[in-house]
Order: sequence, then C-alpha cells, then structure tokens
Amino acid sequence: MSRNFTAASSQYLYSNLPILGATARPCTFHCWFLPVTATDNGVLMMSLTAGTTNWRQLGLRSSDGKLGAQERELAGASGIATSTGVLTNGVWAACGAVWTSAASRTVWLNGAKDTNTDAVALTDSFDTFRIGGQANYATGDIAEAAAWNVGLDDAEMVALAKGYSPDMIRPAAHVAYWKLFGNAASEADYWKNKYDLAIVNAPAKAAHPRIYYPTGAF
Amino acid sequence: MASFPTTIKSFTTKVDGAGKTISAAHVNDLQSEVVAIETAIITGPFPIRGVSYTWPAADGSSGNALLTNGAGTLSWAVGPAKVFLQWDALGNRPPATAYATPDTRNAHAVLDFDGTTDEEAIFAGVLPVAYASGGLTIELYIAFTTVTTGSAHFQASIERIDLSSLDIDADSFAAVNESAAITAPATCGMVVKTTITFTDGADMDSLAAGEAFRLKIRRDADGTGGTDDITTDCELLRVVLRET
Repeated sequence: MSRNFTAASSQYLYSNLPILGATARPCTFHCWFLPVTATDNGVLMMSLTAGTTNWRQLGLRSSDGKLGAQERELAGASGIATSTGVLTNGVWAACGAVWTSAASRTVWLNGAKDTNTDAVALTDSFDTFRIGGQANYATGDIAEAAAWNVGLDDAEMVALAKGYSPDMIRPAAHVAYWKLFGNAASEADYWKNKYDLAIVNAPAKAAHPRIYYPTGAF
Repeated sequence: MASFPTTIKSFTTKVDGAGKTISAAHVNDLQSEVVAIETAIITGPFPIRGVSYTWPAADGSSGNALLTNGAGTLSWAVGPAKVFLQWDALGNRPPATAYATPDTRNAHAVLDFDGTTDEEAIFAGVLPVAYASGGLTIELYIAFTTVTTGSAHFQASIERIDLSSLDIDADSFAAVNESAAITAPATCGMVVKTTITFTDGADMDSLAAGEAFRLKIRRDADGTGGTDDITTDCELLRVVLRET
C-alpha cells in the first residue's frame, strides 16, 4: 500500500542522513505517483542541502500536468528536464529522473524520456532527502520510491515503468528503496543502507500500484 | 511358523518313467514343502534376492507406499508427493488492470483484494512432468484485514501456454471455477484456507504435464459466482497448486 500525501497538510517523509549526499552525478530517482490533480505542482522526491536552494528534485510542474526533473544551485541557476507527456488525474504514473552530468538530466514519464542540457553547478553536499516535497508539496499517492548512484540506462528506466521492482534493476548500484506500504511509524528502506524515512504530518495509507516483485522458485 | 526352504527336499525313492507308483509318503513330503512355502509367503518373513522381508499385517491407505526400516521390516507410509507448486504474495505477476495490491501485515507479504471491486492476481509456472492427469486443486491461504464475520468468495482460472500454439499477446484463461464460502475467522489475523478444484481436461484449459501455464486468482467481490458480503480487504498469503 502506498502513502497518500495532501499538499494542504504539508505531508512528507524525510531523512537527515546523507542519502546520495556525497554522490556526484550520475544518479537516478524513480517512484510511482497517482495524482489527484495533475496540474497541481508538487515535489515527489528530492535531495537537498537543508536551508539552501541547493537541490535536485523530481516533481510535477505547475499547471501543465508535466513532470520535471530539476536541479538548482546555490547561485540560483537551474536546469529542468520537462516531460512531453502529461500525468492523468487518478492514474498511476511511472516517474523517474536520471541525473547524468552538470549539463545533462533526463526526466522519465511512463517510459518516455526528455532531456535538458542547461549547465548547473550543483554542489553535491546534500544532507537531507525528502519524499512528498518541501514548500511545494505533492497531492496524491506515492509508492515504490528508489534511488541509485548511477544513471540507469534507457532499458532499465523502461523496465521500471512497466512495473518491475527496483530490486530487479541494477541492485549493485542501489542506494535506497522505499516501498511505502504505509503500515509503520516510519517508512522502511528495503535496501541494505537502512535509510528509513520519518513521517511528518501523517500521510495516510492508500492502495499500491502494480509491481512485479522478484521471487525465487519454491 | 514354517520357514521358507532354500531347496525342495529330494524324494527318498527315485521314480523312473515306466509308470511305477510313487510312494504316498513322498507325495506328502512334497505337499508339506509347498504348504511351508505358502505359509512363509503369507506370514513372512521371506527372502527376495537374499533379503528377508516382513510385510505389514494389513493394506495401507489409498496412495500409501511401502517404507523399509533398513532391516527388512516394511510399513505403509504416505506416498510420494504429487505434483505440487506454491507461491507467496511476491509471486504475483499482476494484470494490467484490476490487480490485487501488494501490502505487508506484520512483515508478512500479502496481496490485498478489494471488498467491492473484483481484483486479480496471476501466478506463472510449468506443470511438472510428474502430473498424472488427476486434476488440480488450488489452495488459497487467506486472512481478512479487519473483519471477524461474514464470508468471501474467490475464483480461479487457468491459461494453458501450449508451445507453438498460444499467442501470449492476448489472455486466454479458461472459465473460472468457484471456491466454497470462505468464512472469516473469529480472530482478525488468523488465516483460513479454501480450495478450488479443476478436473483434468478442458476445465483446466487442457493443461498437460510439462506445459507452461498461468493461474489467475480473483476475489469475486461483487458476488457474481457466490456470496461475498465482506466489504473490506482480503489478504492472500499463499497459493498452492497440487494434483488432486
């Protein structure tokens, strides 16, 4: 089961551990999102340096229903890759971002990618990771959020969009994997690093997207 | 008790082929040996290829097989396992729509089936070559998210994936078979088991030994095929497929 976030309640999950904090590009974010209103902006996943504008985020753009993968540096410069496609109200969407280099980032929506090449001198010294937003909060259900310390290739991003579990995609480069079942007082990181997320303002439990989990023979 | 003789005694008088009368005593000797052999076979122990076996005193149950203690004493035991496959909730290969959703309950992986909308889960496998045309029994291990009363209803169907025949671009499940009423246990969190049976042949989409297949499990939440008056989630923990 996923977590249901309401922007008006400023609901989010976070860790103050340096998830991807010291990791320079490339890296990858991916999650599933079911928007209530796709034209409301809101952040799904983000790495940031607390109290600054130094961040890397995957989220909905305001008003146009598109997904954006944006990096913003302390000096104020930013670059955003914007999806061609749009999200649909009440429909699960596979949302991803591959942060390739200072001048290349791609956003992935349901297996289709768009790229931005603006140069952004981001400082990779993040000390916080959030799901659900900061200032711009998401409204909708988020599940199966994961991060890698490599840039996943196109085939891998397409596989994630088909519903394959992050467990089955480049596990050697996994950093964190939050299924977001919504059952516990914190959200467990199912990967070895144990980057469990604290819950703020009680996002509710909601239905989960379809996922192909790995399983062995019996 | 007579023992099994290792040789038939020789007659004390040889008889030629000229029609001479055989001594009655000799016939009696021969008869005694035959009786001894019969008795040994019936009551045991008796040797086969140099090993003396003691058989059980009565027949076993249907499907039993003989078990040895390694010293020649035989007994009946449950026979070799029939065709058997099992999956837990992580084995689900969800359909594109109306799928049961993954969840956990106290660290148990479960699939949540909605209480008002029919939802499905699909499990894939190969029917073992040992399948002996006995039909299939599907066992579902189910818990209920909140309720302790009422009854749920599940259905199952099979899709045979016969080689060089079925186009897997489209689904091809045979008609569903029905579970009996699944009564919620009095304690929420307890697990109950229900079965759905298939007869060999068209009922199981003519699936044969050694063929790939998919098994679809559906909660019939809207009660099309049987009463389902529980409006909250059912949780599927395990699915077992065995030969009936």
